[in-house]
Amino acid sequence: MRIKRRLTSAAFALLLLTACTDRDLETLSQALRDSAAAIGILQTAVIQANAQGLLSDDATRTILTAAVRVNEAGLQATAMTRQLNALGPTDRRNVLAVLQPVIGSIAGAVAAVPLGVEPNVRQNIILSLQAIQAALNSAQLALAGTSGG
Amino acid sequence: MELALSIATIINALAPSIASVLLMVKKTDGTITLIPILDQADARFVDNIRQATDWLNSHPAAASKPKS
Repeated sequence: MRIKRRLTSAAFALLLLTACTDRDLETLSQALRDSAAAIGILQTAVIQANAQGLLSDDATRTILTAAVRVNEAGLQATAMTRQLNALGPTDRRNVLAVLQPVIGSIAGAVAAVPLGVEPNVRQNIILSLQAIQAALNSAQLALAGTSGG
Repeated sequence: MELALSIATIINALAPSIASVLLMVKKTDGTITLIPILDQADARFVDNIRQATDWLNSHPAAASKPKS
């Protein structure tokens, strides 16, 4: 019982010290996981549309190539995040430097979806790309320290 | 539950190497769930890369261009 009380007090003190940065770190982790899931959905949608003859090989290749870049940057970002228990200014800059270029590449991939593609397919692809962009934007906001932490 | 949360918070603050696991302590309907967020993200990124490269390797650029 006494140990429990001491641990609770210590935890409360630590929470006060680290609450803000930890929240940003947690937001960043969740944003990375969300973007990974959204990229997976996009890739599957694009590959299925290609298999059904609804999306050309060239358009599929453009989107999947951009997706690989985002996945690789995501892996880099998780490796960096894994080493941290709080986001310092340098950490924020380093992770941002990894993510910012791919946020741009996703915007480029959206533009690469041909206008001639069946509207439903095009809409699905664009919605998936927007979900990825939203997750990456959330990561960017956490890194900027403006996610509420 | 309170004790478990306290221990998790202390370890999280003191041991960065396992922060990736302990960051995911969540209270859902009065229970504690530990979700390895970064592990999930990593696994998904790796799967995604495998899926995309499999397609890209099986559809090389030169092969898909029509020859006139």
